[in-house]
Formats: sequence, structure tokens, C-alpha cells
Amino acid sequence: MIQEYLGYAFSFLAVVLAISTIIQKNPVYSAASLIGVMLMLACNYVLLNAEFIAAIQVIVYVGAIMVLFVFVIMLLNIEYAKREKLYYRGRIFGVIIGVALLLKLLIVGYSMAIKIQQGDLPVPKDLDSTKVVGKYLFSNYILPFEVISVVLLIGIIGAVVLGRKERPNGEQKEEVVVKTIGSTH
Amino acid sequence: MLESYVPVLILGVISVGFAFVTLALSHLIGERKPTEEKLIPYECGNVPIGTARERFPVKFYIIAMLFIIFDVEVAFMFPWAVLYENLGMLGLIEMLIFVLILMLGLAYVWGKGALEWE
Amino acid sequence: MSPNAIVFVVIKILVIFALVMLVVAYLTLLERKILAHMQIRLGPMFAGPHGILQPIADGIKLFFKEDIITKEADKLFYFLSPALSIIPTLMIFAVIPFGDQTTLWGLLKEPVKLSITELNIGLLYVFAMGGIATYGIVFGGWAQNNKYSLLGGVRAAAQLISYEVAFTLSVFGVILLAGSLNLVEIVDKQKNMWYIVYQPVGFILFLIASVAELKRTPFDLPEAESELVAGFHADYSSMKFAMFFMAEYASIIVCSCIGTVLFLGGWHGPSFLPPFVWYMLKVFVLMYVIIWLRATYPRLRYDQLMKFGWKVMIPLGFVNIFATAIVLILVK
Repeated sequence: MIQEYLGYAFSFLAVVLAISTIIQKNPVYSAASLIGVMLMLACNYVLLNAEFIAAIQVIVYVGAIMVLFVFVIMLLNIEYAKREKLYYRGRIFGVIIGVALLLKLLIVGYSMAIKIQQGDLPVPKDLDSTKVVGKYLFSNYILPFEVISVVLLIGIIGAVVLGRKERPNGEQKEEVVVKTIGSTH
Repeated sequence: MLESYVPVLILGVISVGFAFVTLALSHLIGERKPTEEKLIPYECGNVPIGTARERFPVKFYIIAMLFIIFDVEVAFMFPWAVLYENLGMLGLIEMLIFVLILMLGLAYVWGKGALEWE
Repeated sequence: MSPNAIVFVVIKILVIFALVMLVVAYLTLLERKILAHMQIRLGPMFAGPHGILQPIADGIKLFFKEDIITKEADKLFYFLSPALSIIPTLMIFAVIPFGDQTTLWGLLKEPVKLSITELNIGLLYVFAMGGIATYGIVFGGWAQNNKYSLLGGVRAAAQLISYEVAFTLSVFGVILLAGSLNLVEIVDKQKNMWYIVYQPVGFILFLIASVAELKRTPFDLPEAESELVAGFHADYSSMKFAMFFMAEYASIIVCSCIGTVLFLGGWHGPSFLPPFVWYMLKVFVLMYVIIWLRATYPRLRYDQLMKFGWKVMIPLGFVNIFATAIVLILVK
């Protein structure tokens, strides 16, 4: 049952790191904590025999999405940002959304647990999880798979449109550059 | 299957231990005589002006965003490549459509000049 | 796992760990010697015969050096970053197979695998760990509060992620051929023919992308001495600096090992040499090529580097994948 204890340990760490993500004053520390959360989730996926999902979790979330977060934090230099105001203004909404999400998670988790107990959801064991994912992705879920590429395309276009705003005088220039590092000396 | 991850866990513990013990030891052993000048960030002898944590060109944001998109795309290609023998012609067409749509995106970025670092 | 098996795994890990550290240390000497001889110099000559003790002398020196933490540096990340860059690199060695099963000339009753473990997603694990290693550089550059190192760190991260896509795409030909992400299975499939024969373009892409991932010449912009004063580790000293250095050289070994496993047939070779020797020979050939490149090519400009990554490497990677896929269907 060491597996179960490890699962609890990883989950506990994930929760601690998640709390650290929201209470850190320095955004870089928040981002680092979030990276930790992602890693702990990946560890839990491994414990659930979903090694492919675990690897993709690390590659996509830790290796790519969090790099973007860190870049944005450095890009805007929002170190020790004045976040106190934000805390108070959005507090009520935050609590409502948080509680709603928590309820949703509990309901989904509970119904899944019942399904698994009844044997409706077979949990594949000792199977190559890459092949399991692939088998479903390229047969049952082929339409969502192709739609993903359209969503990603929109993402690419959005990034370029946001990043390269055209100036009124038609001159293309980066908006966010106020003072680049190279220009300080 | 889980059994094959036990060595990974052990290696992780050993690597973390190695890194921190080495860093802590050298921190303790090495002598320290800090002076005012020594603690200034090295800028080729100039006295640094202001903080280093300045704003950055937005270019890096676009690169990171593009990377996420291609990374997600590649993530979907792994199961495809592993199962390719069983998927055959249909699999090839499915993946071609998927990649071609994304290539449109790369062509758009290319055409907009977002990959240039003038 | 039984306690016995765990003890055995720990022994295996410690042996591989020691081996890796030894190769890391002597790779620095090898590089200095090769570069020196290519430039008709002698290189290190004083510590021991032909400088053979130089890496040890360097190591001891770095250990006793003053550990400078600059003003306004972020203490926590300043301390964490070197560890963050070496831990994932060392963890990659978990899945790298160093040879076929062996009984060590009859010393052991049962044959042992010459890898720490064998994962079904071995190759994905390598990419995942490689992705984590980026943070050592980004956070390290940020923590020092040094303009050069922050610029170096962000540049390095942008370079790493740009070439990571190309790096991943370059190995898809091999995955298509082998139908597996398990590194041992990939090697076994190459018993008759190395994949470099079927995947020449893939191999070249892999080599270029891995040199870029290793931040070595001609892609060494993040640590360009002449413009960024060594880039993301400018203010690091003592063992912290050494750790970045070790991570870099350990990644050279990792890349050479992965290249050997994926393209050069791993430990397979004519039977006059044992498999492990074949494996090491191939790894050293790849490491030599990576060092050789440093002696040969000048540094690229940053815009050339980015352009090359996105406009040449990535499209070429996709073309290679689909060419392989189409040929595979035609052959069948």
C-alpha cells in the first residue's frame, strides 16, 4: 500500500504548492510553485498507471505553458506587483467561483468513484498507455482531434495579433517594449 | 508497470541529495570575504544603473506562444507515430490534415514577419 | 519490489552515477585537449602527465572558491537554479540503456540489464526531463539581478524552446520505424540495420538540434563571452558555477547516448568487440563531433539562429516525418 501513501504525499505537496501559488507576493515564486503543482500531478498520474498522460503533463504544462508564464512575468516585470487591490476587489467573485468549481469537482469525482466501483470504467493495467490513448484518439475521437488543430491555429493567430499591434502610422513596432535591456548601456 | 518507476524515484532522491549536499558543502567550506565592490553585479566594471529586471521585447512572448502550440501538436503525434503500423493509410491522412492546418498557422506567422528579429 | 532488488537498483544507480561524473570530468579535459591540438597547441600539461589530473585539480579548486552572492540577488533561486539545471539532466540517465543484458563474464547468476530502468515511454521521459532543465537557466539568469545574465537566461530559454520542437520532430522518423517509445526496444529493432541508414535527414536534424539544445558553438549565444560575459551564469562562482558546467557536460553525454540509441544502433555491432564497448565508442564519436564543431564554426547571429530554427529545421522536420510515413505505407 506504499502506492497509496505516495499518492497522498504527492497530493498533499500539490495542495501546499497550490496554496503557495496564490499567496506568494513575488510572481516568479508563484510561477515556480505552480510548476511544482504540475510536477506533483504528473507523479500522481504515474501512480494511476497513466504514464503517457504524466509525460505529456510535464512536457506541455511544465516544459511549455509555464515557460510562457515565466516569460510574461519577466516581459512585464510585474515584480512585487500591487496585487493587494486586486485581492479585495475580486474577492467575493473569487470565493463564489472557487466554491462552484470545488462542488463540481466533488460531484465528478464522486460519480467517477461510483462508476469505477461498479466496474463501468475499466482502468487499464499493465497496458502501454500511449497505445491506449492513440487507439481512442484516432478512431472514436477523430473529429475532436481534428478540431484541436483549428483551435491551435486560432491560438497561433491570436498570439501574433496580440504581440504585433500595428501602430496608427502603419509602422510595425512592438507595443510592450518600453525600455529593452539592450538599450540601457 | 509501476515497479519500473521505483528506480526513477530512487535516482531522483539521489540526484537531489547530490546537488544539495554539494552546494551546501561548498557554501560551508569556501572562505568568504565579501566587500562592497565584490557584491555588485558584474557589468564589465561599470557601476550598474537601476535594476536588471527590466521589461523585455514582446518577441519572446510570441516565440513561447508558438512553442506551446507546436508542443501540444507534437504531443498528439506521439501516439500516432507509435500506432502508425496499425493505423495505416487512414492514420496518415488524419495526421496530414492535422499538420497542414497548423502549417497554415506557421505560414501566417512567417508572412506576418513575426519570426524576424530585426 | 523486494528489498534485495532495491539494494541492487541502488548499486546500479551509484555505479552509473560515478561513471557519468567521471566522464563529465574527463570530457572537459578531452575538449580542451582536442581544441588545443586542432589549434596546434598542447592544452593542459602541468597537472600530471599530459594534464591527466587537470579535471580533479579544477574540481578541488572550484570547491574551495569563494561563494559570492551578489547584492539584491534572489537568494532562494540563486541557490536553487544550479540544482534545478543538474537534477533533471542526471535523471535522464534512468532510462538510457548502456548495453545488452549481461552476466558480467559469468560473475552473476542471472543476466542484468545495463540500464537503471526500462520505461514504455522512455523517449517521452527524456523530453520531459529536458523540458524541466530549462528552468535552471531561466531562474538562474533572473535570480542574479544582473542585466547580462537575465538577457542570457531569456535568450537561452527562447533558443531552447525553439529548437526543442525541431529536436522532437527529428526523432519521429525513428518512432515511426520502431513503433515504440521504449529505448531498449528501439535498439533491438536496429539489430540488422542502424536507423541512420533509413533516417539520414532525421539524424542531421537531430545533431543540429541537439547542438542547439546544448547551447554549444555555433549556437552558443546564451553564453557568448564577448557580448554577454558568459550569459546566464555571469555572477555565479564556486560550486554553483561548477554545477551549471557539470549539467552542460552531462547533457552532452545524454545527447550522445540518445543519438547512439536512436540512430546508431545502440550496442549492436560486429561481434569482435563486446556490446558495451561498441556503445561507448559510438557515444565518444558523437561527443567528438560536438567538440569538433566548436573548433570549426563561428557563432551565429541571434536572428539567424531563430530564423534557422523556425524556418528551416521545423518545416524540414515535418517533411521528413511525412516522407517516412509515406514510404512506410508504400513498402507495406
